[in-house]
Amino acid sequence: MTETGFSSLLKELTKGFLKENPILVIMLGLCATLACSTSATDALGMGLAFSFVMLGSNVVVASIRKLVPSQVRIPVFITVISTFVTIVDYTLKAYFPALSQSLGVFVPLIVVNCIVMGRAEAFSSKNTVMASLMDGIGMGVGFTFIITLIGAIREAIGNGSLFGHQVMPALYQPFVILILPPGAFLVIGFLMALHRKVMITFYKEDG
Amino acid sequence: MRDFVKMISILFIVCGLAAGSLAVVNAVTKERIATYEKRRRDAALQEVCPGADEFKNVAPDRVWEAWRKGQKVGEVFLSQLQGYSGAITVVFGIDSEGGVTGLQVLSHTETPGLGAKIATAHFKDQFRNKRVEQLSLKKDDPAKGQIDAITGATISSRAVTGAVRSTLESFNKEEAGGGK
Repeated sequence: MTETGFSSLLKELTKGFLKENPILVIMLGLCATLACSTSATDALGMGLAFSFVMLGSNVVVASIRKLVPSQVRIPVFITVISTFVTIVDYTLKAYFPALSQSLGVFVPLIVVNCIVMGRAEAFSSKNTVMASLMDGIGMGVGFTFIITLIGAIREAIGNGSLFGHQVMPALYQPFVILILPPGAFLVIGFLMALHRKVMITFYKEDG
Repeated sequence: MRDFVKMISILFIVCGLAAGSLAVVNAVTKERIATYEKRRRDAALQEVCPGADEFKNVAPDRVWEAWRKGQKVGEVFLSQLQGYSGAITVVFGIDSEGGVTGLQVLSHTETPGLGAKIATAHFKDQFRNKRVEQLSLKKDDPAKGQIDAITGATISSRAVTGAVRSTLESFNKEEAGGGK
């Protein structure tokens, strides 16, 4: 592998973390983010399930990108994505029933998570398998990191616990609004502001 | 025309591969999922009717008769109801005098930290030893109601209480009408 090839792959890998974070920058798939971030455990589970689907769909879409006529690419992508989602759903039900119980309907709903479709259409249908793999890992890690962070903040302030363990003193009166739907918007808003600040200060992006 | 054929055959192949891989996953996980669900339900039956050693399913997946050493000691019901944000499945038992022996929440999608508290012992244990006419929220029926609603989750509390009550009421009516 050439030097430039390697560094460009590395760029595809790391961009999902901050520069093109799926939640904070691309802002797709917020539905799943809002619904599954009421506790850190659920958020982490959702993030991992999503990462697996993202990875699988990106690799498959990239490897069949030259065979699929562009007129039928959308139905083909959807079939690929929904197959991976169903595999995740069944696997969780069979081997991690407690997690599957708490994620509920949101695992099947990864099908309509626009990030997966968005990456298939915008990236892996135009790039090599290797680059798409990197993109998938980056997007998965970026998504998992941010949704878990949102989940941890909402759970700690809204319920006084973290990953199910009490972290706030017994006298602490939880701000219940944070685990209600509006709380997710509030936390995402603050994180987005913080993210912009970091990008402008440390990465010299334009304000 | 050639494009048309190509499109159809690509779609056909992709769907075929997808269906094939799903069939494999289904075959691998099906048994585990079924065993797990059955085990969960059996555990719930045992919990809501402690002491019973046999459950006879009289109405498929809805009503069980609880037996202990050859004697019928009560009934267990499974009821599905509409909560605040989706379906709630509860299992509860009554003894031969009609008092509730216990309640378990099998599945729900209520708000964590609020409605989700219907699955905590604090809420569920209130149903134990209550009679059908006591099964209302105290705030709805101050005279007879014996169930405390969860703070901030009146709708979830009311849904569970109401469902248990109406299941029991219709069961009692059937019993009386059927002349068993």
